[in-house]
Amino acid sequence: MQELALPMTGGEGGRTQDSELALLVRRAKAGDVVAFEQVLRLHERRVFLTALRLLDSAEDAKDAAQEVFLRLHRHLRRFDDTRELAPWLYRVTVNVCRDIGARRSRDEALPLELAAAPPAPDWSDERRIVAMGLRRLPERERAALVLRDIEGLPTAEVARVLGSSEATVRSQVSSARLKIKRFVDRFLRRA
Amino acid sequence: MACARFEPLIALHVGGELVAPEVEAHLRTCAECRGFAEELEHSQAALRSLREEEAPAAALAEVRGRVLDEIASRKPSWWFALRWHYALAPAAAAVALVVALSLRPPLPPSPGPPSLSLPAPAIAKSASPPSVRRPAPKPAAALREPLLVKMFTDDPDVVIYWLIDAEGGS
Repeated sequence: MQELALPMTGGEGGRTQDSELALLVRRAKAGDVVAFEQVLRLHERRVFLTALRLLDSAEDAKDAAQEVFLRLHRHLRRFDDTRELAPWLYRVTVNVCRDIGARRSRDEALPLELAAAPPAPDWSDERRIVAMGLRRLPERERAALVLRDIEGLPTAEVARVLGSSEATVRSQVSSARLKIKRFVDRFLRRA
Repeated sequence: MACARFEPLIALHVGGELVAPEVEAHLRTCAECRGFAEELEHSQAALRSLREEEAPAAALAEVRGRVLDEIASRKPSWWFALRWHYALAPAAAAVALVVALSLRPPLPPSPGPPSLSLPAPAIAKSASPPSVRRPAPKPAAALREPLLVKMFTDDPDVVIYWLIDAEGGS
């Protein structure tokens, strides 16, 4: 499966992918369903995983991803194709996840990766522990940390996606990192 | 702890959001905070490694299928509308034809073709009393002029024209 370069990746390859993506978006805007499917395939992994980290539930993440791409299809005619699509998708993903989170009581399903094996104190399991710590963060801190540290967006972009200031994002990210570290410390000590 | 005030700053320092000489100077002199920063870097690396996580292909395929099905069920609105218009067009044309024929003045009976029968009212007029005046028959050209029925559809780009000739054919 082809993977979309992250929005902030530079270089010739990134520019080529961007121009190909812009062409696909223009074709999709003109009603080309095949082009729309290609746009969807290029972004589905990022949208789904972001939703999964924000919602903790694979079923909710699937619903969220579906809603994001249906909104994209509805919005496409008005989309300014000189702009990058990824920030728009992140913003809609966060908003849809907020709506779903507010509407549904959270189920206790573990994220897919965590469900696969119980945590154990070695490196690969530290990754699992960090993911568990992520689930315990308040909604806004979690969104800021997911976008900044996992998705790798610049702080300014995270602020635009979340509709807040860069100072607020920095504060949320700092607080979230400290909470994750404390969670990892406690978990490893208990183990 | 005196170093507690540095913790939020160190959390930003390890992520590259903050370049502060004060924090760097403190880290050079405080072993405890250096350890704290190293542990933070470790959990940061674990967080960043989640970026490489693969999404389950079945889940992605399911979402893709749901989205494309939904779009396919919405998309052909104009096409179906057009098909409905075409399906209704003959019925609409038949109604228009009946209306057009019922409004047409009756032609005088004549054994010959309609064009030859038209002079007949003029001959009859000269033989009849002057007080009886019949409406002047329309010229032959007007009677033979085809009737144009223009049917508008919901789609502004689609207009159906129906031409009906004097004999009621189309």
